[in-house]
Amino acid sequence: MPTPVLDCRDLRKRFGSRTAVDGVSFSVAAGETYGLLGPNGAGKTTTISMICGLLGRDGGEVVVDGRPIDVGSTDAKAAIGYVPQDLAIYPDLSARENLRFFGRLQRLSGRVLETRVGEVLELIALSERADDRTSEFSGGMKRRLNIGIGLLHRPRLLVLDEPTVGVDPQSRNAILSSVADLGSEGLAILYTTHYMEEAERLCDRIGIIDEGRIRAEGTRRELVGLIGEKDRVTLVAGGSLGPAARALASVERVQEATATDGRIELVVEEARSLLPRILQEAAAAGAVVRSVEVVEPDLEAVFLHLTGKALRD
Amino acid sequence: MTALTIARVNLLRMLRDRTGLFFVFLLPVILIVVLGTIYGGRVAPRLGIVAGDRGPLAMDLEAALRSGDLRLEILEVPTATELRDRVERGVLEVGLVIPTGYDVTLRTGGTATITILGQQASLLSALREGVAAAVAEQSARIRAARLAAQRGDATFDTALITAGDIQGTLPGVSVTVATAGERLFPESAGAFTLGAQSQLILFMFLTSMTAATQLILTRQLGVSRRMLSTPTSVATILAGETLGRFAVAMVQGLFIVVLSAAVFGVDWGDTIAAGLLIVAFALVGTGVAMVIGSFANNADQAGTVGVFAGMVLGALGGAMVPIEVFGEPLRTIAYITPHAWAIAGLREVAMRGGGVAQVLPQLGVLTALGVVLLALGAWGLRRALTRG
Amino acid sequence: MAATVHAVLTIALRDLRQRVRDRSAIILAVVAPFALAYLFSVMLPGGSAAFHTSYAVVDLDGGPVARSLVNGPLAALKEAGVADVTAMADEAEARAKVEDGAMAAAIVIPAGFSDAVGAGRAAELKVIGGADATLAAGVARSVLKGFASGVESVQVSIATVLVSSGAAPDPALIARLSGEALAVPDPIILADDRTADRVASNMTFYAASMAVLFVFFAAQFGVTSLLAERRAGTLARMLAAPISPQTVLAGKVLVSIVLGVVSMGIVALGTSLLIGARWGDPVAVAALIVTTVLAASGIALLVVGFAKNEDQAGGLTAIVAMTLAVLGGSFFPMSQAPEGLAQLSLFTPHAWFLRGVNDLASGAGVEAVVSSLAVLTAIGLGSGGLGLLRARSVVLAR
Repeated sequence: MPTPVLDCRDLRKRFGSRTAVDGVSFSVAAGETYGLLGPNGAGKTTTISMICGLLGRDGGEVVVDGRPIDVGSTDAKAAIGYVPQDLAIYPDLSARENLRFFGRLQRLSGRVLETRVGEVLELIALSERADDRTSEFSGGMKRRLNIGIGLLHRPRLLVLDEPTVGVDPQSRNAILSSVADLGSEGLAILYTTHYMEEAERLCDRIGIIDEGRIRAEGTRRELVGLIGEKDRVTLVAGGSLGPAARALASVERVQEATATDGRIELVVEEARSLLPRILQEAAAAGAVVRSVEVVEPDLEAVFLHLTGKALRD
Repeated sequence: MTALTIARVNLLRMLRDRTGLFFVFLLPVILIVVLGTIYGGRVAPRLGIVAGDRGPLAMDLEAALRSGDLRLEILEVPTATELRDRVERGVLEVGLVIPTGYDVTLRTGGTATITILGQQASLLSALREGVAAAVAEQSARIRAARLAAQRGDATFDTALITAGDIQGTLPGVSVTVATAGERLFPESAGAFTLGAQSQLILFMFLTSMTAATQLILTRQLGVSRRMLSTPTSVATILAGETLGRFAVAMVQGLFIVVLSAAVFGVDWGDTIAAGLLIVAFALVGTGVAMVIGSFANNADQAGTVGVFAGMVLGALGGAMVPIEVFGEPLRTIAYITPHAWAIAGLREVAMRGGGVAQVLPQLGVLTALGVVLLALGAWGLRRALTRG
Repeated sequence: MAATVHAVLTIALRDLRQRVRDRSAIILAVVAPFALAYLFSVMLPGGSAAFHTSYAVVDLDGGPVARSLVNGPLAALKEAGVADVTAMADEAEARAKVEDGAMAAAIVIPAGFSDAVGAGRAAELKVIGGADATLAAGVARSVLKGFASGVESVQVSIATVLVSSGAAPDPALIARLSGEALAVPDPIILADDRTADRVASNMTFYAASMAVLFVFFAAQFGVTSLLAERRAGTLARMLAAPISPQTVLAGKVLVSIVLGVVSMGIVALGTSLLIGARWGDPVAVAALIVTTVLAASGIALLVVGFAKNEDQAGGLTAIVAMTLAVLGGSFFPMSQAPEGLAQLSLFTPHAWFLRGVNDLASGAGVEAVVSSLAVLTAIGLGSGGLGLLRARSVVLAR
């Protein structure tokens, strides 16, 4: 495994008598999107604040791009693009002025700055409205600008703190797909959310955090595997369903196969990897498959299993 | 460099706020103009006069009042009713009605009655003396002319002229006036000078109060945290925000100084001394803005309370009414405000030709207060930024 | 009809409840005007126009003429309450008192004054005036000149007769002439007439001027909440109920009026009870307050029609309120202003309200303020009418 872009070890933070973060460790590699999934108050924002050097810590260490990060370490912060949960933009300045201002703080200047501002405006689809005051922007536009500011200086690590809270579904989709694009371009992304669907959709690996501790970590599959639940596959098909079901039941990792009215229901381990084989077997047994539905056990169930409580109240 | 970027964005935001622009630039100028127009150098009480049928004797009396010792501002009013109305409204301090037929009555040996109208007993009595002196002089001439005419030595008119000549040359009793002490506000000070200094101080402070709410908003929007996530140290952010507020105060201060000097001829005195005082006061304003901006959390409330506090401190510090007008103990209490020190310093420089040496006490107090407030504000903001 | 009234009241009550909880609103509507009025009235104890001064009198002569000056006109000044008159033995001491401002002026009667007057020689009286007390020195000089005129009067008469007749200045003739001169009665009488007091006391003026300044801030809360509600979407929700846009507007205007009346009422009552302001006839004051609030609400409504959001409305209201207050004499009594500015001030509700309060100072009733009431109502209805036209589009526009 290559050197991770972000590596944090045993982070600890107390506020008075309350322990907010209690020994959090994880790492994010280049091109990887890591999700911190947990309910409000789980310690996500505190963790992120320590990673970005916004908050002093009581223990542990953070290394970003090979350099340790602390409150005082200014230079190393250049590797981080931080997108706070709040809309941290000046409402009385235009989008371009906001970008320029934060670009300068990121030590960009001159033509480089102007070029990057133009590129980012293009990326977040605000070129048309670049010189309007952000107070006149819609919620979605403000969110996009909020993220754009974090990308200006081409950071190695992008930290997104609940970027979709209070965003309409359309803007939310746009945000999610642009984050997915950024991930595929090699950026290391740390993404916090309390939306299970977002974590499932975006993240290569997920850390489930609750009460300041990472309870479990891994790919979605690995996490689901922890609780041993199986996938359900439904084939809507015509032709000879009975024989097809019997043929499928004998396939390795298929635990159950029953034919009902116009469909075959399967209980399978790791349906995604097995799906080609299943379709092949079904066709060989004379079934004509019209559609396939795979229902995998979700992180909601995992969370419930690990913490004994629901993700959302 | 980064600190300058932060300071620059503060200035930019101030210029973007159109309501703010009115309060920062326009209102002080309006107030300077209105104050100058109302009080501009005019100290003389106003006397309204209904001059009867404007005969020579009536006009003679009016002329005597005009050139009299009280340096009254004399305004002719057409009717007694209007005169009374204006005196009642306080537009005129005192009114004088010379009756119709004044000249005829006096020439034909009759007795004329001049009515003096006034509202406040004390001021009326004081002004009455001036009027009575002018009347007594005219009365002496008429008595002399009547005596001469009565004895058949000359006609009334000829004798009146003779009496006038004699009155001017008689050794008699002269009254000389000498002045002791130094004028508080020299007459050379332009009409707008007093107003310009107090408005400058009043509004620089009010602007700092607004700047404080901007800092609260910057914190609450999360912009400050975002700044901290960039390669920018806490010290740089502190320096930038402080410098920004200082720049806002100085831009406003210089605008008022330059405009009032160029357009209204306000003399600010020694440039270096006045400049240092303004810088010192800007430091105080910046300090107050940083303290409030760091510790307060409700921008709306801080805005309202801030403007209110700015007005009360301004009033108490002599930025609305000169401290010299206050009674004790308020005159002493006023010096708990930075306003009082700054205005005292600016007056010393503008009106008594003071230099840096003469305003060292004021500079010292303001700078010390500014430094203490800035330190407290910096500590507060650092705490707010790193608390999480 | 009953349903509409009910809806208006429901909207107004909800808003009022919200304002009572809003500390900014309470500060602007009640605390600020009261505190500033108090501060101003404390700062200016005597009132700017009241005149009282102090004189040092140094009588180095001690003769009969000098005594008649001290016991005559100077004693009269003291009796009239114009000045404190303190006798001092030494001119240098008196001058020092004047220099340090303890005395406004010193009056010096030089030694030999009485003898010189008696002999018809030139005599001199001296006034040493403080640098900042020009009026006090002027009054002293006038008093002395008046005294001198009396002394001179007989001399003028004798000299005029002698010059006119060409007679020689024979002592016997002069003695006879002086008797005749004294017999000529004073041809001019100066009669005093006190006018009615139509200038409010300092306390009252500042209480009234601060009340009218801040009522504009209080009155804006009602109507600007239209914009806030439009943004929050609660306006749409209200309109979805079976009520008309006019009803919503009426509710908001009612809030403005209630807030304004409460604000001014508390200031009037508070300053009367606590700092001794004398507003005058309660009915007339109430009428002035209601019409002024009407004007302030109308203007606030007009401003709202021109604003895009509540921040802008707040800013615009502040600008309009401050400009009108400066021009209308809330800060400096317009009676002191030059004619042009005084005329300009009559375009502001502030000037008419303050004029009304001044008119009540003499103890007059409603009849004394009819013109103020009429103008204020006209301003309220005029600006409010225009405001309603524009505000309807605020309510209706989505």
